[in-house]
Amino acid sequence: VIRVVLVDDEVQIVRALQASLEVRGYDVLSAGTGSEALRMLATSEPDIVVLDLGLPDLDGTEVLKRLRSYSDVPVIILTIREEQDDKVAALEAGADDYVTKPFGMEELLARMRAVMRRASPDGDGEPILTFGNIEIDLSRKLIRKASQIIHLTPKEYGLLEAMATHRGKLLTHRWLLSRVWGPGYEDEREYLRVFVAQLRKKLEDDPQRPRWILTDPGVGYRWAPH
Amino acid sequence: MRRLLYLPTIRTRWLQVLVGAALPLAATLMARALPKITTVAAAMFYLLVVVIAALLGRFWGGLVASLVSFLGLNYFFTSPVGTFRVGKVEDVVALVAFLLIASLIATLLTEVLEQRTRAERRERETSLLYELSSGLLSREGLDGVVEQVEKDLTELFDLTHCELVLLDRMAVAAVPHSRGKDGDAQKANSFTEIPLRTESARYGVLRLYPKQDRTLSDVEKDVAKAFATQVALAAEAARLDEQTRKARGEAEVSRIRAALFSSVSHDLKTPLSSVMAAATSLLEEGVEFDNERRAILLRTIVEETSRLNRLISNLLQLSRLRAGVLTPRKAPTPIEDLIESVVIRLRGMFASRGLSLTIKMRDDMRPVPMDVLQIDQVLSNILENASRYAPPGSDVDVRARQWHSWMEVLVSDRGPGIREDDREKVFEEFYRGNGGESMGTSGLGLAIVRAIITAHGGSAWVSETPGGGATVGFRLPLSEGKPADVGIASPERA
Repeated sequence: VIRVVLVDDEVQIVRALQASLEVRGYDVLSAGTGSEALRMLATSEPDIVVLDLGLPDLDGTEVLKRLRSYSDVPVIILTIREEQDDKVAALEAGADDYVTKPFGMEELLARMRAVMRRASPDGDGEPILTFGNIEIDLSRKLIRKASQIIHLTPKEYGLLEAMATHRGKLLTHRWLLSRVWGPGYEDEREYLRVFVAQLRKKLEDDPQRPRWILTDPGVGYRWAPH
Repeated sequence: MRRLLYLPTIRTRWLQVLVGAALPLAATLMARALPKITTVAAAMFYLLVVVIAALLGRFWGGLVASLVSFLGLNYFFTSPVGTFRVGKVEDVVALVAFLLIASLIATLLTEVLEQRTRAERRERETSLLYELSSGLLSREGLDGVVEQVEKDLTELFDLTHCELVLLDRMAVAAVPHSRGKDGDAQKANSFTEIPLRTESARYGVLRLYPKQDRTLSDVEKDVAKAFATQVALAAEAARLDEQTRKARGEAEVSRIRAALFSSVSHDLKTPLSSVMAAATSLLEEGVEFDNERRAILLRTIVEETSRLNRLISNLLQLSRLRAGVLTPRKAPTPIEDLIESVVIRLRGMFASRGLSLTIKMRDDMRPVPMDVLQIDQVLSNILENASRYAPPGSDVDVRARQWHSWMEVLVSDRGPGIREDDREKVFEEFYRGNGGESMGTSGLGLAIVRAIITAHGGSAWVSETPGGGATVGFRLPLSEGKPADVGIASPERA
């Protein structure tokens, strides 16, 4: 049974989500405040967390930071469109993905499945990742597409590795820049745009309609979950 | 001796000539009164008089004194005495030398004095310019200095008057100032106009009206131009300052608007999310719902839809109130009728939250002039608000009473109360108290309350419930029109 911890201060949405998830076989625990959520997260060993950012006592991002200090549990945040900055901050604090209110149930379920698949240890320790006709040999830093070896520059490879080893997870611009280029480059979004375009040209069947490297405008990039 | 240089100067030409003539004549009379005086002594005496005449009467005074002294010396002190004829050749030489020396002294002295006057004026100009620029830079600003500049320049250049016309008040200035007698300024119509100009724009003109017999020298015009430049720069600074202030104000307004917008969209989207989640969940195929969960989702949809509806009506109502469209249509109404109808309608909602509602009032109160629909909404909003904050199982009191010429209605809950600092803010649009969001407030209810009550000529406030909790109250005038002020700003109740 998959255990979901649902954190939202709106009684009505908690009620609706709880009923909807339970009927699909999830075990749902809910919390209405940040402090209640922290207590619950520390004791209940959830498989996934659905977290609203606007909590009455603690900022949702703060809850997330404290959770991340001891746990890698997948976290999906609930936001409204107007909270773009908060959303990016939460993703940088370690959220795996977000869903924008109002959302359809199927969308939330799809996101939940995607981030949980990432969290399951299929990629860990495995030296070769396969995505369609793309093969990434992490130990030898070797990329093949349809059995042809693809040559990547070190930065291109770094970017590819960062995304492919976090598949399904939405990675913010700042996170990617800091990881691939290093600290101090967090605001150089232009680099990222250029290198993503190069990677797509080399790896995607149709770079205009990417299958693997997906853009989340204004937020970042993600490697397609499947 | 230097002191002599500071003798007062006579400025009028005919007076200068008069002094130049009178002094040697007086000296002649004095010298003649002496028993025995040599020609040389008389000549020295005349020279002294010429110097004094030049000091007082400048060039013309000195020149006239030289001539009169020459004649006096010739007539009275050279032989033959009593005639203008000169007997000896050396006397002729002496007399001519005297005339030359006297004229030379008068001329040189005048030059020295003029130089000193010019230096003094430059100093004065410089200090006035300095005062002007520091005045412009400091608190006085542009308006403070216009009159001062006009005064200073009039004095400095000895004008009849002077006008400093700034562009944005051109219309006012078009009416000619007639400070001179009988409007002689217009008649003379001879003024010097200097534009107030910076590199980027023109800000007005400076008009100098010299006295009739004078025109301004180039130097004076340059000085006036320096004044004009200073004023123009100050005008430009003032205009830029104004623009900056305006831009800052606009930024503030748009920041508030953005906050408001974000708040509205949050409030609208929150119930929408519940509806959407519940509805899409029910619609998904291949999921078997038990009756209980299906009911939960359907009830959520219904509740959240009505919440959305309330919120939208509140928004519309508030904007209509703001636009002044909703003027109250007052009719005398017994307050108990209103309270009872609202309480009956909301009792169900209170019961579902485990709250009880108690009404406390006398049954002999005067009817109150009010727009029933609007005051119904006022009381509903206050009660809904109380129901959100009151802890389950507690009591919410509704009381009504007459207070001088007012009817007062108070709703008290036993919730967390509202901090004193926030008691005015709760009437602002989209204000949320601590934890308010968790109760799903729209942040509009009390803003509407205040708008309606104010339109009725009453007032609304928040205070503390004795023993803890919040009390929201309002009062309405009992008589039509403006009631007498009871002189109590914040009615406290026991």
